[in-house]
Order: sequence, then structure tokens, then C-alpha cells
Amino acid sequence: MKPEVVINNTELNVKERKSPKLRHWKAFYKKFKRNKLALVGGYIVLFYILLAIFAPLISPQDPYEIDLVNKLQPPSAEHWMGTDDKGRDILSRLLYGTRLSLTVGFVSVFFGAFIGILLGLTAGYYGKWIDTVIMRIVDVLLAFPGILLALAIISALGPSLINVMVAVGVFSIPMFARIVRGSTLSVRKLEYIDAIRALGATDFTIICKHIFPNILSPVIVQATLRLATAILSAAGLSFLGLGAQPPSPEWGAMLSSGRDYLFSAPHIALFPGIAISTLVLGFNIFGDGLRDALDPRMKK
Amino acid sequence: MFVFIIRRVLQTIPVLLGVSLVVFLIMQMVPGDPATLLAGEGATKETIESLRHELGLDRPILYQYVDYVLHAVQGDFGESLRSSRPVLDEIMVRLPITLELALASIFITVVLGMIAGIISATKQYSAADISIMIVALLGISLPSFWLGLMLIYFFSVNLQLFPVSGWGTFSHMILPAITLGAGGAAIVARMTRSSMLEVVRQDYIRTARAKGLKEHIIIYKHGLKNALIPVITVVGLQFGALLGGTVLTESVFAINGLGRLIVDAIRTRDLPMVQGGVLIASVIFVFMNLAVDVLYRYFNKRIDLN
Amino acid sequence: MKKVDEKILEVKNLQTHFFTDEGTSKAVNGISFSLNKGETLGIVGESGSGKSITSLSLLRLIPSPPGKIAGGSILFKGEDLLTKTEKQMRSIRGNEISMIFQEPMTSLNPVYPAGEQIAEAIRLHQKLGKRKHGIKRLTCFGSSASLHQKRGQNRSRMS
Repeated sequence: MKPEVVINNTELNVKERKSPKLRHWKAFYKKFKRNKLALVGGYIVLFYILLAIFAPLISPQDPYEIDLVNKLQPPSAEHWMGTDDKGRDILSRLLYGTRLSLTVGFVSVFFGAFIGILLGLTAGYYGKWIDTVIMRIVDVLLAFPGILLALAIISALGPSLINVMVAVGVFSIPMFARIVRGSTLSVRKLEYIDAIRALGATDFTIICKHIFPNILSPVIVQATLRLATAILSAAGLSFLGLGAQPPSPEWGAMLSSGRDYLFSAPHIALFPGIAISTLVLGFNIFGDGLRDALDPRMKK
Repeated sequence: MFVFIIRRVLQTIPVLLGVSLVVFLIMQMVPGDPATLLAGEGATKETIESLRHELGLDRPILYQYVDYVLHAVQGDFGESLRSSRPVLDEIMVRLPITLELALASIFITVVLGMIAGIISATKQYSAADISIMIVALLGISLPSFWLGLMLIYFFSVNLQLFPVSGWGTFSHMILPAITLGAGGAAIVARMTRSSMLEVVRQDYIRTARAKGLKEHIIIYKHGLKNALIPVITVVGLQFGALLGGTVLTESVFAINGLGRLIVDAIRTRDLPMVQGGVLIASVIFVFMNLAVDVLYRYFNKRIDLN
Repeated sequence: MKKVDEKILEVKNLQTHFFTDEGTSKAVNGISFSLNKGETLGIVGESGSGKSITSLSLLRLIPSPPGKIAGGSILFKGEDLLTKTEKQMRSIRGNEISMIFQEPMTSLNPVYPAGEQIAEAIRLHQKLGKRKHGIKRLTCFGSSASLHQKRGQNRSRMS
């Protein structure tokens, strides 16, 4: 109970807590680097991000310029991926479309993760009836089969790319809430949280400084994998005509316009599909790799 | 077991109420007034007012919700704004087609997924394992609607093996079922593999080895049954994704199922139809989950202890 | 102790190592012992000293990778077990050399009755039909019931 002892203890604690953390990240980096496949995933994602940023510089043509004389042209030296039903250059449209897909993915996942984390932290930390209420809401959101919740939201808000972000974001909330709640529960039970509380820390400090860092790695993994799902869902909604509206070069919408020419000009549907698949594949293997490196025990 | 089923059935009631509330609230977010929409252009204020009264829109929102649930329980989901026929009637025409498609797809998901996963796990790091895992990674990354279009292009347009679109015969079913089931099969394959590999590390597998059992008996008798327990849950979840996915698949193959009905209803802003369609699909999914839980419980008797 | 000379098991300089990312762990590093027919040998040691790994090595059940029997020999009835094929090993395991594992909670398969699992080894090697041997012996423990039900009771009896 002597003050010196207490001071010594905190110093010791700080030291102990810092070094395992550093070791933890080093181990993570080492593990991740060894996973060649995950590295490839990371490069694919990076490649697409660069394409999105530099789309105006590298696009060979104006993605919106209509040229009815040269419509439905197969791939050639001038149009590497051919032209669509209005004679627009498919490669240029795909490059601009990268911006849309990545934006929709990041915004909707960020939105879903933000609300999901908030709900999960609240439920896991406060427990009792708050937990029950929040988890019942999550159960209800999970009771909608697949994309149908997003579809219902769009039916109310009307078709647009912004509404797709909202819908797909809401669709992601329950997953994040569940994962965060689980991790919060396991951290909250640890004794040192009680110790900190005894020292007079507020709930806010405990959540931000002690619980949040612990839930970060499952959230990052989930967010990466969720990006893949979000991009797929958004493209699907646009394919149905419920998302981006023409003449937007959104990949799903481009695919949808290609289906009418499947007989005469299959390349219109082919290339946007390859673009979506590659980007989604990138996020998937990147996420798999992150998961293996961050937490080998975590599954699903 | 019986008590468990009863308890589990009772648990679905609040979930179903929640689902209906969410659907109801989403429809409340619709900008504009349904009565104005229903009355059409050029309707007088009096017509709209009387329509509002008739639809109960002038009453408190909670009252409207209770009213909605009470009617829905009796199978009354209102009338389609487009065809003026009862929503349930229209859904019941379409539902069998969607269920057929869903069952065919879940068959592909389960059978293909499990077989691939077992091969992968038993021959870990072999050429077969690596190629199955690569295909599975592609499987979870391909957009189903694109896969559908490509299948149509190769098998229907080029090889002319299957009809391009429509529904009715067995050959109509094959491509849509593959399109819809492929993603799930990939997930099930990955899950089966990791679950098998996990089980193979367990102590009771070592015990089986110590008894001198043959490797295939160890894998299939002592490993598989344990490995498939977590896979059941994944299959249950996949059924939901699959039911939602019918929206896209039916659109690609021009199949007149529930999914297409919902999409068309969204396009024509036929809100009661959207509401009814989404609600019924969700109810089916909730009951499907119930069945999976019971199955899980049956296979995993260890839960008794906890 | 009549046939003092008849050695049934002779382990010479057995080395079982585990090769991991963090380096090589020499779990068993040159153990030698021999056992005559009719004799009982108890190996005693603190946890982690290699008792289980030694026993598992005898049955060639070291998880590989990362484990490997790096050297030495195991002579059983005069034949080196380390040179036997996997098929020959199978007819020895559970037949001529058996091992009873600790922790019945994890060492027994949760989806099958305990009695059946015990009988399985006997049935396998003596080519007996179902429910002839073993199971009857165990019925007094109530083991034909599913493992999860009777596990707690059986646990102490079987270990």
C-alpha cells in the first residue's frame, strides 16, 4: 500500500504492455509477408486504387463520349476492350468505374462498420438489457435473406448510387456488431479493466483506450472481407437497375447493358465481370491473409 | 429435444415481429404519400383524402403497424398497386418456382461444396487441393450474375446445350442452379476443408490411429461426422444468401419467380408487393434457420453439457 | 521372471525432434531403455520431459510435420519399428502395442459411444463381429449410452 510500490507497479505495467504489442506487430508483419497469396491480394487492391486515382490520366478516351458509328466494336488496337452499345470505349469506362466501385465499397463498409462497432461496443460493454435490445435488433437484421434488406431499403429510397451505399452499409451493420460485441465481452471480463476502473477511469476512457485496440484486428479483417461483399452487392444492385443510372460507368450497370448483346458482342459483358471479379478476389485473399496473420484462431 | 424445438419456435416470434416492423418502417421512409401515388395523377384532394382514410393512413403509425401485422398473419398483405390483385395470390404463383430454384442450388452448394472440401482436406497441399482452393476463391469472388451470363454465352449460345432462359424443364434448371449455387459451394468447400483439418488435429483422431485403424476409416468414420457439424451452420446461412441471390439469378435467366417479382415491383414502385415479397422470403429464411438449428442440435449432442 | 533374456522392446538412443519456425526442439534426445517380457516399466518425469513423445514415438504417431524421429532405433520383438511400412505399423498399433491416452474428454470421439470406441480396436484386430467383445465388459459402467451422457462417470474409471 506504500505509494512507491504503486508507482513501480504502473511503470512495470507500461513496460510490459508496450513490448508485447511491438512484438505482436512484428510477428504479424513477418507472418503476413510470408503469405505470398495474401501479398498478391494486397497488390491487386493497391493496383486498383492507383487505377482509380489516375483514371483521368491513363484513360485512352472519354468514358462518356458517344460514337454511334463505332458501336459494338470488338477489341482492337484503338479500343483495347472494344466499344459498347453506344460506341463508348469500354476500357476507359472500366477505369472510371473503378472509382465508383471502390468509393461505394469503402463508404458503405465504413458506414456499416461505424454503426456496427458503436452497437457492438455498447452491447458488449454495458451488457444487461442494453445488450439484449441491441442483439435482438441485430438478429432481426440478420433474419433478412442476403441482399433483400438492401433491396427493401432501395425500394423506399429510390434507385441511386448513394442509396446503394446506404443500403449495403446497413446490410453490413449486423456482422460488425456481432464481432465487436464478442471481442468486447471477452476483453471486458479481464481483470485489468476492473483495476483501471478502480483507479477512476471513465467508461469512455476504458472503451477508447483499452477495449477498442483489442477489437481492432477482428474489425480490420472483417472490413476487408466485407469490402469484397459490398462491391459485389453494389454491382448486383446496379445490374438490376437499382443503383447507378446510365450513363454512369458503374461496372454492374455496364454488365447489365452488355446482356442485351450477349450474342453479337459478348465482350461488353465480359470485361466488367473480369474487373469486378479481380478486385473482389483481391480483397478476399488480402482479407484471408490478414486474418491468418492477425488471429490464426479466428474462423469464418 | 422436444422442449428445445418448442422453445426455439417461440423464439422466432419476436424475430418475425421485428422483421415485419423493419419492413413496415422502411416503407414509411418512402418519400411522398402512398395515397397520392395510388390515386394517380390529376386526382382531386377529396379523392386523396378519402383514399387516405380508406387505407388507414390518417391513423397513428403504431395503429397502422398493428393493423398491418394482424392482416399479414391472416395472409392479407394488401393489394398490388399495379394489378390490383391480392399480393399473396401473386406471390403464391411465383414462390414454387423460386423454391425449386433454391433447392436445386442448395443441392449444388452442399454436394459439390462438401465433396470438394473433403478431397481438399484429405489431400492437403496436393495439386487437387490447390486447384480446388483456387477455384473456391474464384467462386466467392465472381459476381453470380456475371457467371450466369457467361454460362449462357458458352453453354446456351455457343454450344446450345441448354435453353437461354425461362423455366419449366430440368434443362432449364441446370444453369441457374449452378449460377446460384456456385458461390455457396465455394464457401462450403472452404469451410469443410478447414473444419476437417481442424478435426484431424484432435486427440480422438490420434486415438483412432493408435488403434491401428486404416486411414480412410479414421477420416470418414471418426473425422467427417465431427467436421460436418460446423458446416451445417454455414449451409443454413448460405440458404439465406441464396434466397436473396434468386433476385439476380432470376433476372439473368428471365425466370418468373419471387425474386423477379420483387425487382419488378421496386421498378414500378408497387410498394405493397415489395413489402409482401420481402416479408415472405424472410419468413421462409427464419423457418429454414429454425430447421438448421434443430439439425445442428441433433448432430451435436455435446451442446447438452453446456 | 524366468526368461530374463527375452527382450520384447529395446529402445536405443531415440531422438524425436520438432522442427518449428522458432527453431528445433529436441523433445526426446537420446533415450535408451529395454523391456523384458512380463516386465512393467514406469517412466516418471515432470511435464514436458518427453514421456508422451517417447510413447508416441514407439507407435510412430508423432505429428509430422513438425515432428520427426531423427535418430535411434526401436526394436520390438527384434524388429526395428522405424523401418516398418505404415501398413505393418497399423497391425501393431492397438494390437501388439496399445496406448491409453490421458484426457478421455478429448481422446474419445464425441459422436460415438465410449464402449464402441474401446471395442473398435479389439474388433479390428481380432476380426470379431459387432458387440461380441468389450462392449459387454463395459456395460456395467453403462457405457453403451452416448458418450456425452455418461462421460463424467466413465472418465475416472477409464483413465
